[in-house]
Amino acid sequence: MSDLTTTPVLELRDVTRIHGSGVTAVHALRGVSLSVQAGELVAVMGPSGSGKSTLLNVAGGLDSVTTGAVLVEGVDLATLSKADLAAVRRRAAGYVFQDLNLIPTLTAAENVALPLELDGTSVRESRRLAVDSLEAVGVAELAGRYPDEMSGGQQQRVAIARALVGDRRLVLADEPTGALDSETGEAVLRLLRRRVDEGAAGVLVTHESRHAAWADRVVFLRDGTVVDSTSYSVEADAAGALS
Amino acid sequence: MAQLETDDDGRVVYEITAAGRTEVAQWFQEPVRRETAPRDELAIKLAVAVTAPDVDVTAIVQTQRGETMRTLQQLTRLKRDADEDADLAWLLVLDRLIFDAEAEARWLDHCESRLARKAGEKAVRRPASGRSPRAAQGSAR
Repeated sequence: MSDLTTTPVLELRDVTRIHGSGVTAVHALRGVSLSVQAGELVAVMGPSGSGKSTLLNVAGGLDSVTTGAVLVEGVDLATLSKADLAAVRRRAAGYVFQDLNLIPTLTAAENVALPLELDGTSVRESRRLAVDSLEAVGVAELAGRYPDEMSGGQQQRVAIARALVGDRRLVLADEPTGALDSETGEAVLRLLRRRVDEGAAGVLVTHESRHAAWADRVVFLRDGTVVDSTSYSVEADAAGALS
Repeated sequence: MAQLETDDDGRVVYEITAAGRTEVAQWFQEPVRRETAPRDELAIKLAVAVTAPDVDVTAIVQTQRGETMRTLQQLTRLKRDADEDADLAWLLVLDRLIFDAEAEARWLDHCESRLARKAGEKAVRRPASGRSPRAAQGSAR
């Protein structure tokens, strides 16, 4: 049994991911190691094709690694059966994508409740937790609305509510502000930050340094390799940025 | 400005004159013109570095990007702590500083890409075997 108070919520150990084989093989990730604790938001930056999205996909069990290991709350995803891996994806990790992926024929509350219902939670309990989650992101009043009745920013808030509904402690966000204007995008980042401050662990993939700056740590990828990493230091005098 | 009087605490009280009001109104109406580029030490450093022998320009870019990113994180922390209603003027100034720092980070990314492309072109032009660039490209396929 892992000690969840010290075990990282997410850990990548020397992960390599190769797509294809032989002369056409593409090394998407080359020996990447990364650890994300509860209450920590890590941003991943890099140019197109640097491996950012692959990193997020292997972190959430949407893609498998070629070598190395991915652990979510201390559990090595490679040791799980397909059914158990699907359960981890439903229970432990939440995803926020640029294109939202809300189901258009379901209301906001139904969209948020869906992963819980798929996991066997009763409809009544799922709806209750969905409304709680919508309330936490400030859009409880939209519970009965369909996606096409909401703005882009409202839809993204619903997507974050879905990502963090129930007991999930890991949120994986791939360019979550990509389709939003500057101010709405900032509101989404503020929300993501708040949920992490409340105890979730987060990985934010972005190509915009202004958005990455909301993270505690910024990791730079190039050609599938971590080339640099910066951390925000609480000890550093924030006002130093103005001197 | 016209000086009125000194208050009980010894502070001098001033009042804006009619001419001053006109000037301020004009200042608000006119756009700010950037007629001279300010001296930019970072741009100068990189410009010198690419012409100097034995300087790892990519390392300079990466070191600077880390520093720029830390500045962005510090500014963002100040913004997170600010009150959106009570600190509006402060937030506008912070936004300006954040956008400036972001522009610097984007410029550094651009420099890194340009340097990588140039390095690739040089490698093709000067293949180790001394063969022509066309032959070198062919063998890379």
